[in-house]
Amino acid sequence: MADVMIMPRLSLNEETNLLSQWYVSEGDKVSVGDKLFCIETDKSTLDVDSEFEGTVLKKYYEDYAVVSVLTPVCVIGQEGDEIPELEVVSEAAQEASEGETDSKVPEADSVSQGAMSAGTMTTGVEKGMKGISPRARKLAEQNGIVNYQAISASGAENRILEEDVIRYMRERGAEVPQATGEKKTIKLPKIRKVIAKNMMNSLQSSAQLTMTSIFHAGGVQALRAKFKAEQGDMKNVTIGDLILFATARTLAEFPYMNSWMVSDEEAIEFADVNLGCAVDTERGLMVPTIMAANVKSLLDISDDLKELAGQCRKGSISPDKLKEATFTVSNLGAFGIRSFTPILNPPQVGILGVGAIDYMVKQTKEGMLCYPACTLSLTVDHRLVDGGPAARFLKKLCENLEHIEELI
Amino acid sequence: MAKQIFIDPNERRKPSQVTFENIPVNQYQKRMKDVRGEFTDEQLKNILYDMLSIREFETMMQDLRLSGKYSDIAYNYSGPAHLCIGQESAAVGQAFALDENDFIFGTHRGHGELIAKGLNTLRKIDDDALMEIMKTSGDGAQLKVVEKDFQGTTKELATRFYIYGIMAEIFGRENGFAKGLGNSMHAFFIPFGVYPNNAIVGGSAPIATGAALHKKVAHEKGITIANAGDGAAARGPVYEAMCFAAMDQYKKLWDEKGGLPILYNFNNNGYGMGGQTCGETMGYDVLARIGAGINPEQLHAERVDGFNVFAVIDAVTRKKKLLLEGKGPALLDVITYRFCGHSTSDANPNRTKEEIQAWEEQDAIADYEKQLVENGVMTEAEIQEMKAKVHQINLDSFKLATDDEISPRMNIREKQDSIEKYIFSNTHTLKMTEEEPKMLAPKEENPRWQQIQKKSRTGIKGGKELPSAAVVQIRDAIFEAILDKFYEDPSLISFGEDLRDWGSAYGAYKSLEKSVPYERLFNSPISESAIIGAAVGYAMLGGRSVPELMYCDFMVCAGDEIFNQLAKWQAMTAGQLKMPVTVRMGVGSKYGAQHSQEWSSICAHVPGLKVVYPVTPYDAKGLLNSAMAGTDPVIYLESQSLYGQGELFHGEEGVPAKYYEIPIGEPDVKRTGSDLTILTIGVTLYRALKAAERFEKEFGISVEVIDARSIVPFNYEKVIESVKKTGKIMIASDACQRNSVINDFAENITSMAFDYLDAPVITLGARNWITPIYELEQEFFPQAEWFLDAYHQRIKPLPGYTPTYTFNKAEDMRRGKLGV
Repeated sequence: MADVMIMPRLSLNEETNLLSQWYVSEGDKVSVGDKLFCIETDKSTLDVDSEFEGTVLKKYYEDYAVVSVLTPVCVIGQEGDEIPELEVVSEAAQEASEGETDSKVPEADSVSQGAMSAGTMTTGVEKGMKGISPRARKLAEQNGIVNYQAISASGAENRILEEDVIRYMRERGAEVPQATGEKKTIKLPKIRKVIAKNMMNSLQSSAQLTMTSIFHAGGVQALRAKFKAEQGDMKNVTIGDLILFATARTLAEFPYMNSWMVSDEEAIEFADVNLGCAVDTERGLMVPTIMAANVKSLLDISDDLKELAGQCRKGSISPDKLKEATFTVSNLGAFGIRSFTPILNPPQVGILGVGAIDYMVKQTKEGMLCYPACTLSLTVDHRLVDGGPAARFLKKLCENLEHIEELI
Repeated sequence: MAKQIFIDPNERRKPSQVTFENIPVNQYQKRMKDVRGEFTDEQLKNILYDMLSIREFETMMQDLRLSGKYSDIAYNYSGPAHLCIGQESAAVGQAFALDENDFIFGTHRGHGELIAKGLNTLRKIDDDALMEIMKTSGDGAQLKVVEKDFQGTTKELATRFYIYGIMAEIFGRENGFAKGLGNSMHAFFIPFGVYPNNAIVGGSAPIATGAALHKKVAHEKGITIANAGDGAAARGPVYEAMCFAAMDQYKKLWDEKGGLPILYNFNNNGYGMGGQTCGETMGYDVLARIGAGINPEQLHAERVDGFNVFAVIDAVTRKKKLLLEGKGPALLDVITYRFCGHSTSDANPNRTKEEIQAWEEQDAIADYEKQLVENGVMTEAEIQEMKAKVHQINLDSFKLATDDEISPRMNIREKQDSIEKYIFSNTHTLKMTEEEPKMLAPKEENPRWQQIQKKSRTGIKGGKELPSAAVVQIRDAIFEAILDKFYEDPSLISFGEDLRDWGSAYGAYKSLEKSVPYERLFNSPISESAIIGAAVGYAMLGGRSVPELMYCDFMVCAGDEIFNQLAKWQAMTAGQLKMPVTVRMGVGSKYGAQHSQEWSSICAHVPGLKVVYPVTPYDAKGLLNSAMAGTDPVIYLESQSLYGQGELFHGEEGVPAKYYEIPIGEPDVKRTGSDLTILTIGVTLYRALKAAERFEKEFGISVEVIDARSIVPFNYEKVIESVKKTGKIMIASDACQRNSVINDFAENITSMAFDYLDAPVITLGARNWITPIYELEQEFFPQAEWFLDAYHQRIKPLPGYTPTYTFNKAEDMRRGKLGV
């Protein structure tokens, strides 16, 4: 069956778009991603690509036509496919037919179609157009599906239901990444060798256990947005800074997490939280320390980190500032990493890996809740800290982050 | 319906004649000189004072409407002004014969009676009691204003208090006696025995009848007067009220024999607005004649000359005496005349200058002044002095009542619940009075009660429905609730058509007469207006009642009483009156177009009525208990197709034998599910449950069914919670689809849960036709398969399903165009 390309809505205020130029003619073969036509707006032009593969069977408009958004533009399918009879009313068409009384405004279907076909019938005004329920639209929007016309509709009156969006999301998610066959040998620089040694030592000399938990990041996002909007001192405070702040404050309540395992017999608990912050530099991983972060203000932590990270990246960091951390935070969220297994920096017994914030869907009693979620991965040294105590710390940290405003 | 009355065919069929007594017309011709010895000088002066007060007040109202000024002070009054200039002697004469135990109910043209009764009564109350009344009224709102800088007697203070309170009320000020919510046509002051005036012509007649019923049942002092104009004599509810008040049973069947103490007083000014009731719009010639159509006593009807204040005093005094002797009801046809138009916008297109002039020449006030001088009671100068004083008090009150600082209006923007809080009283009052309820025997001796004890309290055992005869049915649940209430609330009465002995049309009251005496449970004439109106009046005097209208189709016969009176008096009196009235109404079935309509939506439309429609025995008893424990009017609907229904939902316990209440306004989840919500009103519950079974079995769709139970008020929380879960909702009711309250529900649910909806909200009402014969009812009322049909066509096609009925936009469009 042939597919219908729909005129996209470029902005909320636009009811119509100017189709300025076609790149294809009827009968042309097109693949997904081929340019079909160009839209001209007051400010820019935009090419619209084909979402389907096949032959352009029907163009409903010539060049330079005003087309209502979210209405059909052309039909792509296989030769011989039936072309849906679409009532197209463009402003251009209306102008052309001004004065004619037999307007092309479609009428509601006559009742004569009867009850038997009613389950699948559509009304004329919406022929070819799918409706979408508010619930389904909300889910689609939250998942970045702009052109919901691509979703197949199982509801009555050609309406997309929530279950259709879920099915669509599942199908779309099954994309397979491509492999490459290249390889090359590289010689390790000094810092790489140091890191390699430390990491191996870490894994060989301690009992590492990693656990993950997810917190609702709506609170930190809102606070960050607020800081930004206020344009005050806090305007450059990042979500990462908020996590560092919350970690330091939470650690102060869990001294066993803020410890060094100095031998198989002894551990040291620290009153101050000296927070190691993993910094990704061109040369490799560096971990500068924010001293006594548990008593520093959010702004101080933010400023400290900016300065330390800058020094790391420039290579000007004093080795003193890379010492004495009692706990480390490694943030790979900026790379879209959901979760990972951070490796301890001995003799520390804990390291927190921060993942990216991404939307997740969960079933709640109010229905499908789509919410911004951030995954925290905590590695602990099981020699000193068991799973339970580690989990309690992580749970508390998540709670603190979900109620970040109260913490501040 | 009383077996002790034998309708003897021999008696009924024998020839004879009905004879009438002569109806006196203006027989009283005495003047002041003839009765000089019967009145003190002070009384005679007070009569003038009160007439002048009315004339001054009404002239002020007329000036305001016609010239926008009173005493050269501009004030824009645009409210109603149905004035009684010319009729003062009729009002003052009536009030003179009454005291604080006599209650008057008035008309849209009621300023005269209001002022006369108040001024007269305040003179008869001692100063301490008067001060207490003034301090209590509106928490001292009026008193605070008038006592400022006042030096004088308590009676003078009370006069100022009263005139100011009325004026503030008419000008819609918060210091008015009803906080401005009553205003001109509905003014009143209960502590002086002035019950609400009524803007509906004849509206007071059924209400005053109910008040008289309360006086009789509760053994209270005094009489009630239903004031009306001659135009009201043609109103059905007035005739119904007179029939209701004249029932033989008061004198023949009730334990305490005696008629209702009510006087139907027609101030006959010759015009029903413009129509001349004598010679044009009526055929009675003399209004008093209609008394002869009501009972053998002819309502003791007579015509008196209302321009002669002494004739009115004499007539009302005599009627009051008759009424207190239990010989009521009575009727007076009081001839009077208004010099002003129907309202100030009346240009008098229908009467001649000559006519008005002829009456003005006989002005009762001028004539009375002349008699005072002739009889040496007052000098001309003293009269002028009195006029000046009346004017001064009226002017002072006017200045105070129109001052926005002293007498502001309600500030609804600041206090948003200013009116809202009076729509319902929402009290929990198990009994209205404290004395021992009058009953015939202990509850346990009632044969019906005994029979119910033997029944299963649940309708379902081991998953199987028990036979109807073996279980506590809805009719039993209603019986239990009402029987308990009769033993609890001494003020409770219940009346309607075929209640006593017959047991109401479907047996809910069967054997109730074994426990409840006549005066608390009786049959009424087929007079729906009088039934509901009497309940309103009975409530105004503090009594609880459960009137019954056999079919809700008949409620329109009592349209004014339900929608204008019952629904409104709590708010129109700013909460001073309560309306503990539960109106039981059957929702018919099988009886076609005029006996099988579900009219809950009509009731739900009018603010001030609570509306419930229980369809299980558990809900029926719990909601009736709640209705009768409150002080708000509740429309209590009962499906006639479900009286035999047992309890299927309330587990092992079924219908508790003990007392319990179900809060009005809370819907109930009758079946839980996760894919589709169905909200039902009334009997559609059972059809929805059938549909739910099919959805589940045939299509794996899990359905949650919620029974609205109440329509007003309605708590949406449970429904919204359900819709958030399922995303889909259908709402059903047996009311005709157009303007059904289910559309209101649908609109609110759509707006409250828009983002959660996965399909349009579907409403299933009855067709916009007449209810057809029983055998075709399934084509008219929503049936179980309608739910599947509509789901298939409007929500999601059901695999392999073939719908029978059309539910799509095109069909809606077609019906809309045709209005069907």
